[in-house]
Amino acid sequence: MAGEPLTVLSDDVATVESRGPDLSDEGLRSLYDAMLLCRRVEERAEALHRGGEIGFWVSAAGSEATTVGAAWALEDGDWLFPSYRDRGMFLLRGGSLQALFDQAFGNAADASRGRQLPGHPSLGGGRYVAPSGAVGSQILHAAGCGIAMRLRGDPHAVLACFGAGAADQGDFHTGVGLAAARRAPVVFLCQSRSQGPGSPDRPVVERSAGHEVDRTRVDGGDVLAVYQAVAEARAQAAAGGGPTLVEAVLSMLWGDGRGQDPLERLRVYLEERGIWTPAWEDERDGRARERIHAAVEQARGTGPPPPGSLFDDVWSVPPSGLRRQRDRLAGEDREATIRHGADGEAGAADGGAVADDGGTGTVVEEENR
Amino acid sequence: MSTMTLLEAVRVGLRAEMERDDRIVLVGEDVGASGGPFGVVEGFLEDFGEDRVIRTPLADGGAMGAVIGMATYGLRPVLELAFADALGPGFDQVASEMARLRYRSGGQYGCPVLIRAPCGGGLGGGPDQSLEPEARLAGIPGLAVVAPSSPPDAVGLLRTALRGDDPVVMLEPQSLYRSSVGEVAEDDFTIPLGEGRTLRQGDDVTLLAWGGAVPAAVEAADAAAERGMEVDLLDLRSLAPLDTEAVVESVRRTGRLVITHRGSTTCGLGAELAALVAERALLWLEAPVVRVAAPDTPVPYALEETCLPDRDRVLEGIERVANF
Repeated sequence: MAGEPLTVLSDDVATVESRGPDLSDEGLRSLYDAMLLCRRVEERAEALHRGGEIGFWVSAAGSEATTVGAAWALEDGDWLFPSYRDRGMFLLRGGSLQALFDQAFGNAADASRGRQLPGHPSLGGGRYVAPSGAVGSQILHAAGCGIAMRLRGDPHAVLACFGAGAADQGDFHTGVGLAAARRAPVVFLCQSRSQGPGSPDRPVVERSAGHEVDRTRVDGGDVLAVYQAVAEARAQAAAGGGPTLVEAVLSMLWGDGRGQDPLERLRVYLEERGIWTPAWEDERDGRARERIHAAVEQARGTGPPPPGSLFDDVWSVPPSGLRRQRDRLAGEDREATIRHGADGEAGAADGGAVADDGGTGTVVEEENR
Repeated sequence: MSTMTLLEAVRVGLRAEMERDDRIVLVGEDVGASGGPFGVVEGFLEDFGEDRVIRTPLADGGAMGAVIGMATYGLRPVLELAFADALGPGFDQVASEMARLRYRSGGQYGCPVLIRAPCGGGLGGGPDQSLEPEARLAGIPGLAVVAPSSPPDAVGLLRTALRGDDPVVMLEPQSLYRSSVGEVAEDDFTIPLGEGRTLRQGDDVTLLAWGGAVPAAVEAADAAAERGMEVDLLDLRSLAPLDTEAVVESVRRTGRLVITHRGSTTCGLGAELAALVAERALLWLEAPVVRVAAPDTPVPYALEETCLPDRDRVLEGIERVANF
């Protein structure tokens, strides 16, 4: 049976050093900095959504420890099949803030020409494989990718991200089973959004007990615990030791007394260790807000994708029927607009100013997808 | 030239492609020593080994998803289904993932997968092993669908699929695996997507067929000729994309159209072809369009022959449009 999730962070420096990963002061501060940036991105995007400037945004606020800790454990050459909430990993894998907000606005500068819902960016070369809106389908893609990697003698690993809801899908069990059978180098990272004490949800590590994979359950609000678990699983996978299921238990209810803010938890430790000051935080926070502000301004001011681009990338070479449809549309006298949801204002370029209250407000939660 | 069955053509063509390109891997639930339910890939496991011939658990959607990951990474998987009916459990992965990945990623990722699906009635497979899934697949943006009826078409389309960068479903008519025999040229020919083949030239009636419906269409066209009606018989071969130009050209010449297919009638591919003709050749028509397809029932085990269109029904359709 699953015990308490593994925790590393504590306000006692010696305790953390004895059980946690060996990270430099600079590394620890970078972790915090990345988490802070992710938090500000979520807040800004939610405000843009509430203001009708961008469409549906599934919040990832509160999951920064898992997002940043897991991505931190990856190496260049590893592949990442994200869920639709993992855009913090997009930034850590080399995606720019500008690309993230261009994608959120669905403008002409977006790599996929505004085809995807906000918060679904993509990077080539396996760094962040375009997430779909389906629940759990990427688990199988990761397993297949891992099998292919092994066949080609690639010494890297694959990270598959999903929520506990996806672990109810057959795709999860087939994917884990397939990867285990072929000893594919896959780390399955399940983010379980706990409903709090007394929740009837059985841990995913228990529900998957029949599979021949190593299973570990960590505190998803503890960036060091997540980093350590994913780094160990990644090393084992890459060395041919087979896949691991890492279940990161997240309390989405941080701030109401039942859960704790993952940033605050790291901050307490950094302060104890003597590498955090309010001034440093203010400087980093200000910098994050500035960068986000600049990216939003530019994304807002960039026009919609050209109408004909809706026909691009359906095929590697478009068939004649599709070319005919494209030509017919090109003959229409119609200006391109961006529509953000049912009640969204059309036209990104003229989007009005929206107050950034910086808070998290009321967000639509799709639990455990 | 070598003479072979359609089954042998798939086997020979696939083997040659796997020898040519080591990124091609064969994946399936039943691709082991037995060579699949029809024996198409017999000997592949022995010859290519377990790294290139990958057996998956009996989870159709699972295999469908796994090949997407393989293709994303850079392999060129060939997924052999036991029967086309397995597309049902895997439909989400095919329609929402495989066919959309290029679009979703703005061209950062492609998904060059070939799904080989033995399909259609004619072998007494009953309702769950006789599916003609073409109409469900041909409308999926980004997914190519081909349906060869002859050995050379099977080889040419297989090569095109494995050398292209988009996902392709190849519908292999079970009933033709051994009964369709033909000569396959030795050269490295390919058949482009979206190009039909005229099996018989005529100016009286256009007859459209593909896959397992072709033999009955050929027999009916022969019988019609004996009765003085020259049929322009087009084997479409590629169902997505369709050879719309060939269809429109032929119908404008004959003014009469019969479409035959073994999938059920309503919302079958015949409906799309009839709409195409209504849009682009209506004023050339001398008679209403006739569809000779399976009724809107599952394919029953005992009454299969009653259910599926045959020579007599196609001939009756030809006569109906010719004598209108």
